[in-house]
Amino acid sequence: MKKYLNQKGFSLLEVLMTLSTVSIIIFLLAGIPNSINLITKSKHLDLVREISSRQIEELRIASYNNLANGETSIVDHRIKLLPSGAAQLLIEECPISVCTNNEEAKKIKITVTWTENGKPQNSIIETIISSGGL
Amino acid sequence: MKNNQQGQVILILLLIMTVALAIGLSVVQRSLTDVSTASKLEQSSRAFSAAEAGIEQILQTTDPSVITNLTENNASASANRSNIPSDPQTSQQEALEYPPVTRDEIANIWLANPYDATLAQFYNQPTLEVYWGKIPVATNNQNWPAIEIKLIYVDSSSVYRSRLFYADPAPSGDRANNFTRPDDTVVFNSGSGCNPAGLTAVETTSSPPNKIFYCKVILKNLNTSSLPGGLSKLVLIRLRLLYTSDSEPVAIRGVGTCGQDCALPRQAQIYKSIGSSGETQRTIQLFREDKVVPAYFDYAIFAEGVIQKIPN
Repeated sequence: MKKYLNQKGFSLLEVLMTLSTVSIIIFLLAGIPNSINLITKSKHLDLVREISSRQIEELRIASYNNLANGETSIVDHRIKLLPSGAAQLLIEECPISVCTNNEEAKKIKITVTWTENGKPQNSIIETIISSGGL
Repeated sequence: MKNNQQGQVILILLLIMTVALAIGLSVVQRSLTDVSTASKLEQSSRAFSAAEAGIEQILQTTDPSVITNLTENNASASANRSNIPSDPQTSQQEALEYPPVTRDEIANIWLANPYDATLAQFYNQPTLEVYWGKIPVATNNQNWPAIEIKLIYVDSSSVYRSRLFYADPAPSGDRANNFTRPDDTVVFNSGSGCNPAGLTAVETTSSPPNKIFYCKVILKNLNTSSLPGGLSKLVLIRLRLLYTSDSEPVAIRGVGTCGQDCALPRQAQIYKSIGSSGETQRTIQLFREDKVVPAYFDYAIFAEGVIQKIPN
């Protein structure tokens, strides 16, 4: 009696290893869209920071008397690199809550809004500019 | 029964898994770091704007310190002001160091009190130490720093006068000027000279303490009988570096420990503002010298005769 034991197939260990490898690869691939989102988000944050800083620098260089109170739209070619990007500049007399000694100064507020994956985001930077100051 | 087991699948699988894991993890880690950096940068610019706001506020007041709260922006700043030198009465052993000057820039250091309406006398000793130059010094002789020292004083007839001293550490004959060598004991007090003559370190108003300068001269005979016209009070000393193309530190030190008579008056103010937002902090320091007489007025003040403006 000849027993012909010819089992062709995959051993248990092989199957388990394959399953675990494939599942790890799938998890990693699933993480790629998330990574791309994060990289885009950090690019946007960088742009926002650049836009705000440049605006503040320009206001400091300008003569204090030319700073008119009110809200205006900021013009910067980088704003259109942000999805639905917009930036507002608000100049007002420094309120007593901030300028406790009632100094002659103006409070500047720069608000940049954009959308990240459809969700609206905003970033605000405030500072004070006075005559004869920095 | 033959048990013939051959296979390399596991090995290959292991290798593929390791490589895939390594690539995937590094991508994830890069993007996480990116986002964290971007949000820290945003906080950092808010902190910087708050620090600038703090400086603006303290420039407008006379308070010694000011706190600025920008609550809508989640940022605040704390600013304070301090005098240079810090306390004239006790700091006479400290050399007053001016921010580094480049060729043809002039360092002005007051010897009388500029914050007094009558420019009251302050320093009145017959000697005064002048330090300049940084170590190591370039060996090519284009860069040896020579110095022009102009001492401005009021003579006994209340006329403003100036006295010039020139010192050059370059070997005599190298440059065709008639400048004095710093170790010349006819013009300067003994103890003057340049390194490496073993000059000891001197405590200065700037950091780090115990700074060593390249050269030192001690001006002497700054008293009534030796200065042309006699001396009523010392007013100002101007230092100008020549020949060197680098920026070099300069400093002045009063001699003696006799209170105001041996000390230098207040020269300038330093404003420091620390802005913070979240966990980030940014600091701004501003040096303001507000009592300066520009050097080109020297031609008008020290003219021998009458100055006439010729209409064109």
